[in-house]
Amino acid sequence: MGNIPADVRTAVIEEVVRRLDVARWEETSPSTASEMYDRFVKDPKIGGRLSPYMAAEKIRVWIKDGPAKEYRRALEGIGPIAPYTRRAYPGPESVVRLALGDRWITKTNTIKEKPMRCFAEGPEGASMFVIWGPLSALQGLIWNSCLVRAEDSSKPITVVITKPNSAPLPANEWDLVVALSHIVGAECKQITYAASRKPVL
Amino acid sequence: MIAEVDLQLHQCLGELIDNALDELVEASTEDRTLEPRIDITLPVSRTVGRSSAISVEDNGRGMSPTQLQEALSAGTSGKQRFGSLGLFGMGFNIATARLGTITEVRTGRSGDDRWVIATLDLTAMRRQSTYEVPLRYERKAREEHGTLVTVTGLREDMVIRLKSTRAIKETSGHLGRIYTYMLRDPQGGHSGAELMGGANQRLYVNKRAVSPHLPCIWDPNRSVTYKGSATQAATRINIPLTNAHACMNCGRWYTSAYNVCIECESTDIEERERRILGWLGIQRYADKSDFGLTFLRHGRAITYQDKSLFSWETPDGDYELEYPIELGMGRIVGEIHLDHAPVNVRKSNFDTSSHEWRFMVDKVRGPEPLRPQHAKRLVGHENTSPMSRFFNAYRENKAGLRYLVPGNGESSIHEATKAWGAKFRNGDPDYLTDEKWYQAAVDHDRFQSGPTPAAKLQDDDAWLQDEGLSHLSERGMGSLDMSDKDDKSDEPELIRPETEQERFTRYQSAATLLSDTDRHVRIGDAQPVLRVYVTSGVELTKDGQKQAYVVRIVAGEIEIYVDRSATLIARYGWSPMNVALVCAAPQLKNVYRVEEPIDQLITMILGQFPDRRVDATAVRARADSLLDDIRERLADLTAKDPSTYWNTLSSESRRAAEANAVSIAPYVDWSGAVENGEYARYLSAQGILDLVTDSPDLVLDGALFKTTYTSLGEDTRADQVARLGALLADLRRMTGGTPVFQTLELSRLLLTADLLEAEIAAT
Repeated sequence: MGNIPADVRTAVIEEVVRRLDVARWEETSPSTASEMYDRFVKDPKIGGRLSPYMAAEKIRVWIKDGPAKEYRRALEGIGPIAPYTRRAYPGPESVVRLALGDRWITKTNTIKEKPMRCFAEGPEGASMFVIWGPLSALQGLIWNSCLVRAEDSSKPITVVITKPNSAPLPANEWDLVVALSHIVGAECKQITYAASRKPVL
Repeated sequence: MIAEVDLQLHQCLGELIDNALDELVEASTEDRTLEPRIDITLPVSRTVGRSSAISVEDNGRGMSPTQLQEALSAGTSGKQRFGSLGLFGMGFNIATARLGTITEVRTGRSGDDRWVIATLDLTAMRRQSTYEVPLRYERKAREEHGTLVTVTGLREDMVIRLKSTRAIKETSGHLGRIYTYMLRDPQGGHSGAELMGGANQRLYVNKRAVSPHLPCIWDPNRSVTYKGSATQAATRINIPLTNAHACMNCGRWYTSAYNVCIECESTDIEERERRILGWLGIQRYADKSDFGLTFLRHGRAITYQDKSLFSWETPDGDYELEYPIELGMGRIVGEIHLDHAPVNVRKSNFDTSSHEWRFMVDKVRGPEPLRPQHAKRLVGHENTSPMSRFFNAYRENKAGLRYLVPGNGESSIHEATKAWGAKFRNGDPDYLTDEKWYQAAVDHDRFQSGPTPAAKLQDDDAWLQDEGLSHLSERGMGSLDMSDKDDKSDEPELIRPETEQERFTRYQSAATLLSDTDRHVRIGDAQPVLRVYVTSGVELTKDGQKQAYVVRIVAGEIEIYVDRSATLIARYGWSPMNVALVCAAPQLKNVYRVEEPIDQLITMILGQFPDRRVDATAVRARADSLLDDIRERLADLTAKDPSTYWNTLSSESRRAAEANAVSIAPYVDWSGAVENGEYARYLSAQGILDLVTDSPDLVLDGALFKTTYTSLGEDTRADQVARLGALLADLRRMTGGTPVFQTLELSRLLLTADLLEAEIAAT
C-alpha cells in the first residue's frame, strides 16, 4: 500500500469518495456494497489506477478497509478522507442540542468515535454522557454505555438513535431501544440526523 | 364513497409522493445543501394488520398551521396546482381513503419549535357531519422540518395486498418506473444520460432506495445512414407551442384568455409558455413488449411503454399497426413530457381525445403513415416527423452496423443483448455505456465480411519473416524510420521459449470474441464462463502441432480459439461456434465430469444460446421485410411504363397482386394503381420473378438488382436471369405456401436471403 505514489492515491480516494457520496454510502445495503466494490475494482479510474501497484485481489480489500470503512467517520468530519466528501452530518453539537435541548453544550475535547460519543455540560454544571448512531449500531451504543456505567454507577447517560428523517421509529424497534437503555440505566432519544451537501465555496 | 375509486397501492402512494416531490423540487432549489428524500414505510407481510400504518415523509420545508389548514380543505387546493404533480385536495383524499380510514398529517418548518398535526378520521367526520379539522401541536427541535403523512386503520384489501411477500418489492418496481425521470441522475454516466435528463430526487421504501428504471439506449453519438445522411440513435424533442392561459389554481389550460376558470371559478389565470419536450431513442436490445414511449406530466410517468404512436390512424378511424414489423420485436423508446395536457383522475392516462394530445401525436409521429411509400401512395407525401425518420432508419433488426444491431457473426443476438440490458440496470460499469453492444455489431460485420486486410497483411508478414525476407514486408518497406534497424542486427538474438500466457495473448490479439459468448453457461453441475474466439492470421498450436482449435480451461473460465480458416468452417460452412463446441466437447465432458453423451452435452450448451436457434418465424419475417423492400423500390420503376410491365406479369401474379392490395387496403383504387404502376407495391415474389424473367432490362444492371445483364452475351444473360430467378423462387417459398420447419432448409433460406439482399442495388 505504501508504494502507491501520493498523487495516484489522492486521485483514487477522491474518485472513490465521490462515488460513495453519490451512492449515499451510509445507507447502502451489504449486498449493494459488495457489488459496488466489484465495480470499483473494474473501474479504470479506480482499480485501473491502482493495478500497477497491487494485485487485483488486494484492490478490493484496499477500498473496503480504506475509504469505504472511513466514510461514515468522514461524514462526522473525522479522519483522513473527511476533506474529500461533499457531504456532512450536522455534527455532535447538533446531536446534543436535539437530544438534550438548547441549554446543553458539547465538550468538544471529549468527542470520541466508533461509535460517536462525548460528554455534554448542562445547566448548573450537570454532566451527561451522550452516545449516538443509527439503530443498526444499537449493540455498540449499549455496550459503550455499559462501560461508562461500569466506571461510574451514577453517571447520567443518554443513548441517541439517529434517523435520516423525522418519522418516528416503528414502535417495536423503539421499544427495544427503551428496554435496553433501561437495563444500562440510560435515557434514550431519537433524533433526525441527516447528511446534507456541503456548501459549494 | 371516494375510497371506492379503484387505485392500487402504488397509485395511492403516488398521490402522496407527487405532493412531496412538488415540495422537494422547490425546497432543493431554495436550499442547495438539502439532500431531498422521501421515505415510505410499509408494514411487512408477517406483521401487517388493520392497525398497521403506512407513512410517507418528505424532508421539504414543511407547512405553517395556516398553510396546513388551507391544504386540507377537502376538495379544494390549498396550494397552487399549476406546475405541480399533486395537490392536497381530492387526489390526496381519494388516495388516503383508499389506504385506510384515519390519516394524520404532521408538518413543521425549520425555525418553528412545534409540529402541527391534523387528524382526518373520515368515519368520525361523517358521523359528526363536520369537515372541520382541528390542529394539534407537539414540541420539535427547531432544525427539523418536513411533512409526514401516516395512514392507519388500513382497508382490508390493502392488508391482503401487503401480506404478499412480494408486495414491497413490486411496489418499489412500480414506483421506479413511474418516477424514473424524477429519480435519475442526469450525470449518471450511462449512454444518453444527459439527453434524457432527470431530477435526481431520492425515494426510499422501507429504507431501501427505489431505483429508477433507466432507459437502456444507444449513445446519441451513434448513428446509421438513412437517405444518405446520419440518423442519430437518440434525439431530443423540443416543440414550442403557442402560449396559453393556465388557471394557477386548478391547472386547467385555455387557448384564449378567460377571466374566470370554468373549472374552479378561480380568477387567477396567467399566460404561460407551453412546449413538448423529450427524446426518442433506440434501445440497445429488441423485445416483443419492452419498448415504447413513456408520456410524463410534471416528471411523473402517466403511461409507460405506450405503443399507440406506432399505429397509423386511417381516415376512417381504423388503426394500422406499423411498428414493429420484423419478428414483432421493437426497440424505439422515448419520453415525452406533456405538462400542459390533461390526465384522468387516476393519473394513469392522458385524455387522448384532447386537443393537446392529438397535437402532440401530429408533431411527434405525424398524421401520415410511417412507411414512406405507403404514405406517398395514400396521402401524396412522406411523413417527415421525428418518429418516421427513426422508424425508417432503424426498422430492421438485422445484425450489423447498418441498423445498429449486435450480432454473433450469424444472426442478431436479441436474447444476449437483453441479458446485457439487465446488467446495465444493475449498474455494472461494463454495460453502462453502449460500447459492448457496439462492439458486437462491429464484430458481426467483421465475421460476415471475412478477415480484415490488416489480418491478411499479418499473414504475409509472417510468411516473409519465415523466409528470412522480413525487410520486404509492408511494415519493413513502409518504415521510413530506419532507426529500428539498430546495431543489434548483427548480434544473435536470444531465443526464449514462449510461455503459455504469451501464446494465448498472441492468439487473443488476432482474435474476435463471439459476442454472445463471454458469459456463464451451465455444464453439468458447474457454471463456468465460456468465451469463443475466432482467430485469423495466427497459427494455433498444441504441443508444437498446428491445430484448428485450442481450448484453455482455467479457474472456471473456458476459452476456445477456433481458426477461421479451419476446414470445417472454410470448406464445409460450419459456424465457428459449432466447431468450437464439437471440438472442445470431449475435453469439457472430462473436466466437468458430464455423464451424458457428447451430443447431449453440445445440445445442452447450445440450448443456452436461444439466439442461435434457426427459427421459422425469423426466416419468414426476414423474407417479408426483404419482399417489402424490393416492392417499394420496384414501384418507382414500373411507374415509367406501367402497362408494358403489367402485361409482362402472368395472370396468376396479377391476381395475387390484386388480392394482396385488397387485403392490405380494402378501398384501394385498383384500376388507378394499374394505370400508374402502383400495383408493384402489392406484387408477390412470383410477380417479381415474372419481371426479372420477362423484363430483365427494367430491373437488372443496377436498376433494382446489381446483376449485370445488357452488356453480356445471350447465353450468359440467360444464366444471370436464371441465377437471380433461383433466389427469387426461394423468396417465394419463404413468403408463401406451407411454412418451412426443417432446420437445414431454414438455414439454406436464410443464406438465400443474405444473397438476395446483397443483389439489391444501392439507392
